[in-house]
Amino acid sequence: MSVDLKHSLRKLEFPTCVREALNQLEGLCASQSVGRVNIKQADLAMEIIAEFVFCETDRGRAKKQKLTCIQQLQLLEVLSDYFSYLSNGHESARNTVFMLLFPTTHLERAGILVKFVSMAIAIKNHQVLASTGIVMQQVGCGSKFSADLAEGLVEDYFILLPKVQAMLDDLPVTAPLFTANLLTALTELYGSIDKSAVPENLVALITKWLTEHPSLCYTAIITNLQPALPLGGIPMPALTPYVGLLKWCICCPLNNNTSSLYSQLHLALLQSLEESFHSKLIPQPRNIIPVQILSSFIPILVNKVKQLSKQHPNDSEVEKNIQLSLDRLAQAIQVALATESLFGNKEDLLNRLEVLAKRNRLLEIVLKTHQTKSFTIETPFVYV
Amino acid sequence: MVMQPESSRALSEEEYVVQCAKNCLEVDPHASKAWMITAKTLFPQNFGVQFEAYRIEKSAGNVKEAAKCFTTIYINFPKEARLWNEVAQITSVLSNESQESAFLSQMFKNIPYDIQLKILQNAADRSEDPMEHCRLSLLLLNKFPETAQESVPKLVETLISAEKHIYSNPVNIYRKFLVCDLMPFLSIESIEMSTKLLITLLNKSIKFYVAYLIQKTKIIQDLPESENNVQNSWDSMNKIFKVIGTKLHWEISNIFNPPVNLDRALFQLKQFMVSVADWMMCAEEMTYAVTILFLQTLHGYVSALEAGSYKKSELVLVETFINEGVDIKANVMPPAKKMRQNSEDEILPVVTVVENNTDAIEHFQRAHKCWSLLHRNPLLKQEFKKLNEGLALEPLLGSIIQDLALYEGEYDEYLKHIIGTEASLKRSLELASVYHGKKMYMLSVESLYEVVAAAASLPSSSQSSHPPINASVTTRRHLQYIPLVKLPLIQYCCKLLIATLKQGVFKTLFSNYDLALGHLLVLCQLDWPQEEALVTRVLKEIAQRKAFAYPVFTKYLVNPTILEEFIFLSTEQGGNISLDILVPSANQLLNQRRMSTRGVDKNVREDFKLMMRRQIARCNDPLDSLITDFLLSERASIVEICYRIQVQMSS
Repeated sequence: MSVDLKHSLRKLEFPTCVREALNQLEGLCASQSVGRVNIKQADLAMEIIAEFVFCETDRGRAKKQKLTCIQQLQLLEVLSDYFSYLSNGHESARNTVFMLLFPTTHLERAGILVKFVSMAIAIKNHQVLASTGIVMQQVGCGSKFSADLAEGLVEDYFILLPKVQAMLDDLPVTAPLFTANLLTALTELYGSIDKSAVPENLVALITKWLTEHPSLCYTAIITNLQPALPLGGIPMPALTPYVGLLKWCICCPLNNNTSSLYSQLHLALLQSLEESFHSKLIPQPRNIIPVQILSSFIPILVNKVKQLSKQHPNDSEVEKNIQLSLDRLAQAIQVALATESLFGNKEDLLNRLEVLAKRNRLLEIVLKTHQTKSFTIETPFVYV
Repeated sequence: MVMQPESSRALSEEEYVVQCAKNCLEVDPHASKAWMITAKTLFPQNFGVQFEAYRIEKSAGNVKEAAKCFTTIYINFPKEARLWNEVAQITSVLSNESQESAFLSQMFKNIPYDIQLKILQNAADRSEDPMEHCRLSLLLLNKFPETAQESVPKLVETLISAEKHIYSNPVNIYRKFLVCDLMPFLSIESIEMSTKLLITLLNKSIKFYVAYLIQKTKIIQDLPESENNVQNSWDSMNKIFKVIGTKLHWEISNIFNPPVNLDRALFQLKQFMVSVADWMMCAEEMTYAVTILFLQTLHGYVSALEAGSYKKSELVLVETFINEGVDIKANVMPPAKKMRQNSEDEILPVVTVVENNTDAIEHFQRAHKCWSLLHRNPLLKQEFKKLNEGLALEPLLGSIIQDLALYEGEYDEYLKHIIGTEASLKRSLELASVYHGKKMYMLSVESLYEVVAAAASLPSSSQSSHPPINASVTTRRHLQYIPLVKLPLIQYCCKLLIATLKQGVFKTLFSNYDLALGHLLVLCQLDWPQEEALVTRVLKEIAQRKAFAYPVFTKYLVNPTILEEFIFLSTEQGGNISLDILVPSANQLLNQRRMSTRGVDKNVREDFKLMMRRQIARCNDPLDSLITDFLLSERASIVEICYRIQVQMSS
């Protein structure tokens, strides 16, 4: 059967063969999602994709000449069409096909994926973006796959194209899960404490997104992936971009960046936490920020502060920046605690903060408040 | 942005965090907000911190955030005085519609709906001042009409009892709240009230609107002028009738549905009356409907008279006796063929007014129809009497009831009303008119002279500016509105005297008969040639008598036509009438010689012609002054002639 299938596909010209191959794939995946996984069928699917979709191989094995730019564009058009016409009821089939097309291990296709997603953003193809968002979450927002995609999008698309900002403004509405996971991936990409290289207009874009859509940060948590996955698929736990973005705000003064843009981003994050507190969609127990990630960041911060003080003793400007950084840290921890957003060993976090609390009054107040709090009975307070 | 640790130690924890927020408010508002969020979550039990957060949002003009802070404070610190100060400001802004765009108003809209409701409810419940309580309750009702079923009956009770304790004048602030602001809510079907209370409310509404619309100033006791949104019309009263009538299941509750047409309403009421099977059941609703219609008409009538009055003078309705000998009660027998309704109109007198003020007349005639409706049916009459007493309408009705009596020819009833009033020019005029109508000429002339005396002291107006007293030729009675201005008053007095004199002359002779004829001629000069026919008759009478003696001839007769007739009478063709009239020239006056056409002296004849020419030359003299002079100087003889006529009539 497989020989017949391939034989008939080989009679078709590019890009007709792509469309036909995709149709056949859908059939294969549909039968797959109903019954058990058939390895033979999966292999067949991979072969078809390699030979007839991406045209990487010829007659099974041999390497083929790469597609020309025009051909790539034709391929993207066919793919884009295919995904937008795949009916909504077949969400899991669509995602299965997507995962077959772009397996995490296939590095060569990463480049074409960036182009594919860029195109989907430009033409607001929300089906493609939804699938991308799901795949990112399933393979992990911190994975190389997601990081490469995020980097590719930023470098090839967000930064290069002029007036792209206006087109990206409503991305959180078109593709909330994709945008949320992209944010998390971006925080992984620009996660180092010493790196102050987050592009300015990227920060501005994110700030705007969060200010207008405070729920964006916890979208992944409130999205149920189960129905979108192939039968038997297990949804991966969602991550939020909170810690990563807060780290940007806390670290930038230490790299002598006091742009008010970060004040705004920081505020948007605090307000987002406030809003999450009132969201009834968030499952209990609330795991919006895993404490562990935050805790592990504290020693790095302590070192950085120490190092700065040593390098610039009695420099009031540096001291001011350190205070700004610690104020933001304290504010973030306070609001996260008050909105019950932290999940994990909070005491450990508070203990790690003690060193820093000695040189910042707000941090001191926050620690004092929460270290004693566990022993007092709270009077009810309605927080609006 | 960051405080030095040393200086910051002096502040408490709360103060420190709030201070940090304030410090960067100008430079970096986002950072300031982040501080405020931190402060709010750190010190949730601290009112000062929460209130400060609110104040910062308020001063930055952030409607949504301020609303959030305010809601938090309201829920967690419901007893704080500063919260209620803020609520007081909000309610004052909300009550004033012109401040819709104000920050507090906008902020209030951003507070969750159920909290908005609670805030206003609490504010109303907290206010100890009854006026403030009512104000806030009304505000609550306007913003949350769904609370009406519960709050309207309570508020009605509160307003009625509050008013009772303070005010006697129906135009007061509580009544305004009750009638203008609260009554419209009664249209909500689910609100239930006793019949007794509904009738009380209807009475209170009528009293309020009548008093308010009739009073000259549009001031409502204790209500600031800026809050006076009472419409200057009966529309609102008509709506209240509908609302209450519907609640009472009155069949005619829709009678005043807009667009209101009073004549149509009257017509429908009459039809309803004809169709009514059980009078006991609907006498009350009929009485209210007709009374409200009547009061609207009365108000329209008074306003029209004021708006259309001649030279800003009061108008007085009097009878004009143009067609003597017409029986007042039934001057036209209704022809048997004609419909009843038409005949009714025909028996009634014609009413006219200067300067075409037809509005006033329409209102007057409609008022008469309402009045007849209210008095023709004994049940209605009884109901109206009760209502009239209850509403204390009497002082408002005074003038029109009197005029309606005149209109119906009920002179005795009419007199009863006038006798009770204070002496005035109006009263004298009315008395002169009605006594004449009752053929009590001596009393009529007595009052007439009061009018002349008063008119003489009024400023003169140019003669052409006033049309003559209307002289429509009709067999019906004729009533007219006379402005209290010199010329029309004198004109009317002339008419009245002419009518009186006509009763005496041409019938039997009496002493001073020539004088009576002469006076008639003098009086006919005003409004010439209206009475030309009468003049012709008088001259014919003189010609038949062959002689005429009138000592004041040269003083008062200046009309060229009349004078020419006398020249003719003195000629051979004219019958050689012997005229005995005083010559006015100084020379002749000295000799006390009488000018006479009898005698043979040719010079005398020449003198007569000369004198006549001199009289004709005076034809442009101001007639109103001339006639006023005449009336005043000849008072004795005029009164005497009237006495003769009175005696002659009664014999």
